[in-house]
Amino acid sequence: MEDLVCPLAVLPTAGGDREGGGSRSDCVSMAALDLRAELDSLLLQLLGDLEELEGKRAVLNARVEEGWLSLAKARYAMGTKSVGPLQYASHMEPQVCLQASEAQEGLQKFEVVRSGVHAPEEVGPREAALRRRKGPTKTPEPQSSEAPRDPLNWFGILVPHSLRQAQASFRDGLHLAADIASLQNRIDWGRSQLRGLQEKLKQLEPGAA
Amino acid sequence: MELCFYNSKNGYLEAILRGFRSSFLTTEEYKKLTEADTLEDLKSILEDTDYGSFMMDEPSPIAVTTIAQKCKEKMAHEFNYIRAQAEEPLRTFLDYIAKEKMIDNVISLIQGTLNKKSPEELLSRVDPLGYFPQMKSITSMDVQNSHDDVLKVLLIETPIGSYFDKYLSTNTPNEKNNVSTLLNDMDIEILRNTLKKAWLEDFYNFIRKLGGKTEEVMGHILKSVADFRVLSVTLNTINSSLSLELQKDRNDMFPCFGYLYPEGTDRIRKCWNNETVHAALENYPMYYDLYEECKQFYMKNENMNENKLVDNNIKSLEDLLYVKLVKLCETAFDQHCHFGIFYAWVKLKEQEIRNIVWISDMILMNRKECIASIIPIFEPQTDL
Repeated sequence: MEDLVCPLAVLPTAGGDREGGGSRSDCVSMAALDLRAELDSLLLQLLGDLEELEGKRAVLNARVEEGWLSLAKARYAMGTKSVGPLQYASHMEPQVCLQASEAQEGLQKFEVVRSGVHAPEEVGPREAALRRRKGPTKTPEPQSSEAPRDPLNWFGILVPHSLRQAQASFRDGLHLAADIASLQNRIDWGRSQLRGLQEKLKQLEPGAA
Repeated sequence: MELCFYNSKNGYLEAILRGFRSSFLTTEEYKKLTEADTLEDLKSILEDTDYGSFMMDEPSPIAVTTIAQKCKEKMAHEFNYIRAQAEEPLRTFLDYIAKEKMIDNVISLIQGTLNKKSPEELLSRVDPLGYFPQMKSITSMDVQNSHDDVLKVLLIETPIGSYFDKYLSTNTPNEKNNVSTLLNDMDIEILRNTLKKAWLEDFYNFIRKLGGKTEEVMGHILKSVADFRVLSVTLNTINSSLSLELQKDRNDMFPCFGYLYPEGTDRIRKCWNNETVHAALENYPMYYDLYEECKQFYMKNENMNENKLVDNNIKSLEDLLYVKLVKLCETAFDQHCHFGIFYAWVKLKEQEIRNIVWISDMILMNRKECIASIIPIFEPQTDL
């Protein structure tokens, strides 16, 4: 609050208390104006983010739907037996990881990145810098010493194009999901900022609030 | 004379099969299926068709894989009824039809065993048409380490052992090491396609020895199937990121017969992208038109808006090939006294099951507008 007091108010004036009081209310009005401007700007940003979130959610839904439809087409082309749980092991290594990093203003941002070839316990889940290693080094099992297989190859190499389309749709969806999470974080942050500014405005202009 | 001898040995079974021909789902029945909102509704509608109470004992909720499996079991039951009463050479002909499914079953069992699936789960998912008792031993094999047992089962105890033998002898020198390489490093899909190629060539040679109308009808169907395989393998590899590495493997999978063989196949062997395939098919109008119709499916469409990555109206090569196969098989029923109708019936039944599974998937995904892409079988011709 001390920051909002106009420096003119502390200077001695010949006009006595009334002039000093008028200057103070001018300062408060200016501060309130600045606050309102900041509030408006934040609100516009928030609405823009909400619109972007709505758009990305629609695209994510479309991608996931298209992915499932392409999977159904692949089952039609290859047979129900050829596209199912028999083609993959119960245990699998992840191809991608979610990397959380701090952006400006302390906001957490999420990004989908390719994981390294090492087993998960050798690489910390919070490591921001991912190391790509060329070949097998310390892994005991021969399967995990190779570069991770493209999941598409679980179903064979001569897979129909619809299966590739399904993979592309789900990959896009994965990146979108990370963007949506980052956007939601930003929106939550924006909402809390908005509430804070509204509180300050209420204190500055109790009548207007 | 052919009519007389044929009818005395196979007349009854052909009559049974022509009875089965009338059991295919009609346009009205497909329409009712598309109106189902849940898989339970679909099951009730199928009970009013020739399928009857085939899923009576299945508990709710029903899965799409259960529907597919039960449909296949019904088909296999009818097929085995015919096979049990068939005399030679029809018996061997029907065995060839079953061998195609045996190849699929053996490969699935090997793949599932490598992925450490339980034997019960694996055996519940095999195609009943390709069932043979010795295949159960595959699920208990230590496919990673026990080479001798694997050899014994794959090469000796399976009815398709000769195809494995042929594959191993033509591709790799040392027999024992081949099996470990086969099951650990070699892509199982390439193995399946190579076995299918061996089976197709063997079947075609058998048909040619039979001669007569069977050779005429089945020869045409099998040559077309061989061409379809060439096109399918080619398009699936050139659109893969591994196309150059796969080229040699791909070319080894092309059958040594068909309408495209040998000149068309030779030109296609050298193709590495969509344009070269386009050029290779110029002398074959039917396949050229087929490729023209589906090539958009394999090319990136830059006019797509960002909300739609896949255009559902563009058909893939597999969709168009299934349409062609259905037409071929329907035509087989126009003639009498040949074995082609038995093969045609199996293929048409498989298409019907694909249709039912597709409808079930679309009901589950609430995408009923996509159901129209099913292929009707023996659709009444209204305009001549």
